[in-house]
Amino acid sequence: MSITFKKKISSTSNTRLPIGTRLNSNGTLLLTSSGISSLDTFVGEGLPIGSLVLIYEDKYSNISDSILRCYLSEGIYNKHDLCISALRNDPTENLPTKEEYKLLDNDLNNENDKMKIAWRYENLSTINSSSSSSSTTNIHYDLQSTKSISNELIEQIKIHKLTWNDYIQTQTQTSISYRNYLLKSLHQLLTTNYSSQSIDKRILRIGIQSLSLSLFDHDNKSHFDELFSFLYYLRILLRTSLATCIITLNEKSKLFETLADIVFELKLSNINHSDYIGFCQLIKLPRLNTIQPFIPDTWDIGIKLIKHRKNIIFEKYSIPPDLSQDASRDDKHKTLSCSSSTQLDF
Amino acid sequence: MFDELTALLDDTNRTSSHGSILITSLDFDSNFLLQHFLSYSLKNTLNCVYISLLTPFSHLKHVQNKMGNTLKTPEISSSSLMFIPLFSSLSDQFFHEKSSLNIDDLCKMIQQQVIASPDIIIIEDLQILRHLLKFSDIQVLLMQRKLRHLFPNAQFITQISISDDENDDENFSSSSFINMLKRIHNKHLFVRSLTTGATKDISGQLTYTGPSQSNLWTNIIIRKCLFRLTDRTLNLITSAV
Repeated sequence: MSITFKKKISSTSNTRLPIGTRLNSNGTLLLTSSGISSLDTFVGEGLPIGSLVLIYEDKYSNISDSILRCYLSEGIYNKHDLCISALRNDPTENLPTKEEYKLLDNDLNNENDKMKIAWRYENLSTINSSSSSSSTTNIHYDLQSTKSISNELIEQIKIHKLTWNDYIQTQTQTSISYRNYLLKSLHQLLTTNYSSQSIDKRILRIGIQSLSLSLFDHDNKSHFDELFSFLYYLRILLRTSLATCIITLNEKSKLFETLADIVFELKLSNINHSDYIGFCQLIKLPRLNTIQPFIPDTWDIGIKLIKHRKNIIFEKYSIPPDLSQDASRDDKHKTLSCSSSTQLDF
Repeated sequence: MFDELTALLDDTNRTSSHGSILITSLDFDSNFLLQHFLSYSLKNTLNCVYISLLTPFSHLKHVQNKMGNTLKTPEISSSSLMFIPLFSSLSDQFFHEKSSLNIDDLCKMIQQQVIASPDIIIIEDLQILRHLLKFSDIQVLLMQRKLRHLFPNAQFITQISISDDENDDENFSSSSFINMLKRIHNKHLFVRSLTTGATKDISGQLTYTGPSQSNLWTNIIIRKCLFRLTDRTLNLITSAV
């Protein structure tokens, strides 16, 4: 029998943490939310500061772009600076706004009134498997929002955009690939403003969309090597910075997974009349400052849009029970009669 | 350190510096094995050189702390651990546009930072040298040879990760490269993930290949087992198959 003790984290230590971050349950990692609280529960309470997240995009990149947008919005509401590199579309246009709603007491009471058989459990609170059991406040981002985030919030942060036009302008002086240009820009940004040693503890959220586009290749023959190099040097930079990075890729490779801290793959749902718009398969979870990573209840997650397709949630994918008639037992050959058979066969 | 793993490797009676160990992994992070050997060397006050291509010192410090070892600073001192952050040199070379490093440069860099004759040398993932610096298989093997020449009395613990991608790639014929590495190491530990993903009871599969202890001839022992890994323990579960 093993006895484990958890280190008590003093409440005063939270006052020195950067805004929008918290310590994990062991007190060894600084975490921040991805913007989707249900996703946070599957990756170990949040994204570790200094970590690299890889997302293999779904077919039309809708879900991956939604995750990126929620991640960036969460940064704005938590006063984190943003750094974006995107060629397909600008994720900062029409960023989703935050919605907070609490589970009302009436809702809980109504559920308790239904308990006619399990009456002993009336006074216990309900447990929602898709979100933190200790929280009754759910935070979601409205993906269909027509309102924009208030300018007051946006003015409090810095948004760095690394665009193709900026890259082209640098090409007149030096000739480097777009990925190398990205890396050197990030190196300058992270070492000067977001180093872990800096006094002003500001967090930077980096979002890079579709990094594996062959448009970014300097040499088509060394496509994987270029990507590997990019991820390697970026990971080293992130480890000494107060930053997190989400990169979406449109191709899979196990080589990249050795360098990333969190990896998951998104797929569109091909099941008609299903509640799920897509599925998420967790591939790798972070092992920062620990040997054994967080093990989720399941590695297969369903993705839903709730509240009239405004909010995205991740939940344990459950296969509905088979209620077909074939599943029922066949009682034809059973007999309960005690009468002895006329034919005895020994 | 993990006692069950020590018992499997039968290292408690190790007296000589021979018996290098190759650690390979398929789609699984085998860093915990490096942590085990580091912990072993610290607990037995052996001089250990940790050549890091990816892992920062802070990670080592936290993990070793859970294993009962205290690491103070990464600076080289009279302590038994010499931590060599090769990733810093590689990163510095890239961002400051210095000339690319070759094998001689790397070996010289390592030699300069080793102050005491090491008993154990731990080398992190060699795949990084292949894909990042584009070293060929021959160059990586040559580097291993040079390090053995520089530190003849040290026991080498070498890690290399394999991915499924490489089995189809003509340029990276990992199987022949792995076989060459196995030849220059005495023992081999192979770790892989479960196809269904790790659970809280089973983390992965481990295969140990090593020499038997017969005086008449050398046999090869192969032991396969499942394992359960926590921050402090490694439990080996004999497979029923």
